[in-house]
Amino acid sequence: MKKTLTNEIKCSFLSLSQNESLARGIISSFLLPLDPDIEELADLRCAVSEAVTNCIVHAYAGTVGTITLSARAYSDRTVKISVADKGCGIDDVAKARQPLYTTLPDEDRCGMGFSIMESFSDRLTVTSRTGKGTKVTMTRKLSSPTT
Amino acid sequence: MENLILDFSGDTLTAVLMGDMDHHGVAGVRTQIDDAMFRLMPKILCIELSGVEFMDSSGLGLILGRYQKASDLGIEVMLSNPSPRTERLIVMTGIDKMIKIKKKEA
Ligand SMILES: Nc1ncnc2c1ncn2[C@@H]1O[C@H](COP(=O)(O)OP(=O)(O)O)[C@@H](O)[C@H]1O
Ligand SMILES: [Mg+2]
Repeated sequence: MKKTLTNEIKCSFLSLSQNESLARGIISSFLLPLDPDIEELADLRCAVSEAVTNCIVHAYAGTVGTITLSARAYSDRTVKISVADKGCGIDDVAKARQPLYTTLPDEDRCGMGFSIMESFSDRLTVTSRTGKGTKVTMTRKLSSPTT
Repeated sequence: MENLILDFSGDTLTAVLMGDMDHHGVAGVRTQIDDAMFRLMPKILCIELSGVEFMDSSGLGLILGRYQKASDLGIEVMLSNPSPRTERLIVMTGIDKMIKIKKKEA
């Protein structure tokens, strides 16, 4: 059976910290009609929050830029969520993804953002170019709804 | 919206966290807890987590940061009543190996 796209959204907002909860609200509204498990919903809300926070505190540190959140749902219950910025970019993605690695230890960052995104999704891809921006994409297959 | 209540009784400073402990939510909370620790010099800082509705790594950073400040001041830290989800993040980060978690019946 070929998998087909069943829904898609794309929205942009400024890198203001109050938009972290906005992003969680948007992703909840997108996921709820797909009948996710409570834990799956909570996992993906948390993963999106991490990605959006990184755009605010790292990509656009000290400035305000645009964050783009997009999500796609497929017929096989896979969802693909991307968060993209046009900020500073990451020099060494492999290093940045290591647990407890942070470039902002003085601001109470704990370096667990990527680890959380990784464990709350089936697959996490990070593409980044220094000075151009970063895009993280999280893929997760939702379990079949129990009736 | 207020997402912190501070209570000092005996030798314990209790910081009751409420609502969203994301990067937005922890911003004001951090300095309020630190100020109270410096001012009151309690023996114990208890961080009450039952009212937390959402937490991500910014909330974990808040806990770790307070633990470091408190340790410098000789103050013992404990965490109280995390939800199963909050506890999962705490365990993922290894915070449970450093800070005692106390659970009581609601
Ligand atoms: N969108 C981004 N733009 C630029 N740098 C980023 C971005 N996301 C993450 N980083 C870099 O990767 C590091 C690790 O990120 P993360 O695991 O979320 O930990 P933390 O946010 O606590 O530092 C950050 O400290 C930062 O240097
Ligand atoms: Mg982060």
